[in-house]
Amino acid sequence: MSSSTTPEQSSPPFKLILHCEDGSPPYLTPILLAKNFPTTNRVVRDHLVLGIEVRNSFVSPVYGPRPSDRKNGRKKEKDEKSPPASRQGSNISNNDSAMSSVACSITKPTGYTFSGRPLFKHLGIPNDYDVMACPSFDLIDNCVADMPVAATNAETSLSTPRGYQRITPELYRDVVRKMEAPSFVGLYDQASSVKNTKRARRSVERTKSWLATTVSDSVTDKEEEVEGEKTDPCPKMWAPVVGEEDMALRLECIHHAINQKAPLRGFALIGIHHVGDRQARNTLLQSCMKDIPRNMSCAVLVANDMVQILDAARNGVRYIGSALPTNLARCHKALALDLYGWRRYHENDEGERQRVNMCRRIEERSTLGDGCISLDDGIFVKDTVPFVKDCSCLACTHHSRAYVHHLINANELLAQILLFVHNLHHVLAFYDEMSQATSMEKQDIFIAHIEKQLMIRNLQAL
Amino acid sequence: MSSAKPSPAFPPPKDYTKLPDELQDVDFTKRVSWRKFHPYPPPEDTNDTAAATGTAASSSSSSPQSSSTTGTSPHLPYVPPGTAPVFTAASPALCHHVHATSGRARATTVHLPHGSVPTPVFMPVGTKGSLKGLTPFEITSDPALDCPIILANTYHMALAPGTDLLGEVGGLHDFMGWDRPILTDSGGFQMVSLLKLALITEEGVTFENPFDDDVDNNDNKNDKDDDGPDAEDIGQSSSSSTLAAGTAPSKKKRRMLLRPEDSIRHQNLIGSDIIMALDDVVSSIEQDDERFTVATYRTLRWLDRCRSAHANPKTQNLFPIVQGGLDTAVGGLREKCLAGFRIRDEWVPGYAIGGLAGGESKDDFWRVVDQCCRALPDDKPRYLMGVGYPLDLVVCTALGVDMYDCVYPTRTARFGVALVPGEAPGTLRLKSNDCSGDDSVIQEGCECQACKNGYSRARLH
Repeated sequence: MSSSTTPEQSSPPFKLILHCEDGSPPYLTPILLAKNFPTTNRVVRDHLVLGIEVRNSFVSPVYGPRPSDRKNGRKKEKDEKSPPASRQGSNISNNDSAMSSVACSITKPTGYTFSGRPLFKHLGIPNDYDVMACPSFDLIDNCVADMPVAATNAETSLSTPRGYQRITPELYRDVVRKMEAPSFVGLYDQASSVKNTKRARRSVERTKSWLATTVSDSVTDKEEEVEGEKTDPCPKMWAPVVGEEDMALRLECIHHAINQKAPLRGFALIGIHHVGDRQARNTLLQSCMKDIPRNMSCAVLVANDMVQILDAARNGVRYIGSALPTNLARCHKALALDLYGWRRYHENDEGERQRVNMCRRIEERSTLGDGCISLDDGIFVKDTVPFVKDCSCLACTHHSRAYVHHLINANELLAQILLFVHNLHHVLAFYDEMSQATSMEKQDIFIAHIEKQLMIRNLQAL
Repeated sequence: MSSAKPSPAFPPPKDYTKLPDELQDVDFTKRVSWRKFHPYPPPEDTNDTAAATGTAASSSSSSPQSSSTTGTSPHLPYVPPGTAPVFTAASPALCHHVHATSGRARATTVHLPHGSVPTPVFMPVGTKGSLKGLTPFEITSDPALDCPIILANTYHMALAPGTDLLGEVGGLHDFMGWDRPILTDSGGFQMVSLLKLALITEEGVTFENPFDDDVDNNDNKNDKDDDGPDAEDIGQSSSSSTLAAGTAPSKKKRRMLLRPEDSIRHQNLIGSDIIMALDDVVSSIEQDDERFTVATYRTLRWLDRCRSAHANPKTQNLFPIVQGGLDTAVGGLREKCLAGFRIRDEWVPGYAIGGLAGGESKDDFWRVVDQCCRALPDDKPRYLMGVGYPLDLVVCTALGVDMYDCVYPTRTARFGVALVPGEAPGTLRLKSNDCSGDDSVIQEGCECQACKNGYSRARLH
């Protein structure tokens, strides 16, 4: 990441909530994380937040007598009286054999639940990184086989590596307290389709009622004394805002949270990426942002592509979550946008002015590219240049397109590692440039510059 | 792909089991060895003109191994660690410094064009030009790894990305961003691992490309002609005794002929520091004695062809590989192979021991290693191929081996198994339910990234 441009940021910077599936930064061992994305680097410090899901990082086994043991009491009695044939003659008493059969049950979990523990230690993340915890980035995305999200007024189900596990607001509050996360999103319910108005209404009601439970205690940092002065506690909690495409439901969530008068870090807009129509998505974002107090931040937990990131930023959302670096790496793609050309914009250039004006009118563009080069393309077999010229990431400074192309063909994991390192580097630089453009009141120019490149389907032609 | 030098005329198949001419005068009633130092006994074979020179060591206890020693061996001259290498005309790309010995074990440094390698050393295997899941940066900067040398496989690199490409971009070092030494295998091991896809003749080995299949998913035969000769042609050019035990390559799959000349050409293009001669490898559990005889003598002939084809003797070191199955008898196949290498010792910078780790008993395995270390010169590095179980590493180092390679540590990790000290078998199965609630690290005090950064067994589970 280039630190050569002096940031002129009078507005808060944009922050990437990097989706950390499994609780660790994707593909990054501690050495790679420390080397390539250290918090001593300004861009990392200003723009990177690690997003951790409770659903796959804080699941713990439960041990105890199996329900079948309690039901089959008669079978257990029988086992105690007559030890298995293999043990006969081994001088094992009846009691010992009974103990053996119980011990066998204990070593295998009888179920799973959620339990909190200090996340930095548990997940091996250095504690100087900013972290946002949440139940899940999106409940609907985690549903299996299009099944609806299963919830009651008392609890919801989270999809975990051990299957669906139930969690109550009280349990979630306990878990996040023990996690000691710098910030977290409250527990929420989510309706798969707003067309089922009753289900959508219930999801909002549950989210509102669970908000009170989760925010009730110990959700602010303890007041600290620094050189004799007390620092203001920093709210930890993000209030979830659900309702899919229904603007009224979303605004209801926001107003309810505001009326709680509880200390909140901001509002987390859930499921915005499900709104397929770009105009509708932008309208929804605008409306939500109008009602969110200016002194509070807004987060979009999931933005699937550059267009969604740009739309969120355009509407003033500062925290934008995404798994884009990871997903592109899995598809063997490297981001290759020119991030700095907007600085060369001249107001007298008619063509550029038209481009900026067009950007101001949100249009549905169905042919937008992804700003990437596909390293599995055969044209890169002998291409010994870096992914992107002048990129300072580990992949570009030490490796070539040809090498990564070979790794992809050889089905080597290193291909995705290098692509991810490059993509994350590129996205953070993107957020940095976007922040600087916004501070300089040239956000429209920046967005137009990026969208112009996204119009080109095949960036390899550049 | 243009081929390397044309192959020389081949001996007729009836001569495949005939003792090579250069070995006719060797006294096979005595053990073969040359340039041996303490604690080994002096060579038994009085024809060995390469016997150690210099002052004899002061009286030491006689070696228990041989009753026919004519005296005690001098000590190998030690070189202090950190001494700068001196490359000579005889060995322009390798300088071997022995720093200390303990019994038969040695602590040495092998100086190569891309760096120095302290031994005993375990060389991790980067078959296709990368260690699984690790960047070269991590391999060199992690103190727990800091691998001084890695392995790459010629067969796989020739398939993808192709060695012509590697030659164009300056070799594998530049291609993968690795600036330390690399050792490449010749592709010979694939004769065993891909036996069903290989046909071995005096000319070389014809492999079916395991990643290529002209047959479509509906099992409809593809009528297109492929690039290589068909199975009947291959069969006519080889004797029945040299046919692989597996099925002859099918007509429809693309095939790759790997001759000694081709193997060396590939390795020249890869640019590795140490290259291996193509040897005729037979699985150690093979029952056909004639097959072993053919393979042993053919290994010597192929070594000569490798040397003739070697285009970079000043920058790449060609190691021959001792073959001979499990025959360690006096005058047996291993002895014959060793005798053949002794004759060629002048231009050989180091030796490898092959044909093991294929399922033979541990007694047979160690016996072969023992014999080879007793025979091979002490002032050159010894590389035992395909060995990586911890116990084997310890025992073979005690027998005098310097270098090892194996896929075992990386492969077993992919199956969720960690190597740990303690009771046998020295492994921890992280998929076991016992680990599901275990908050301890794999091994306390371990400096690897997983243990040092607190990744618990439960988390890995």
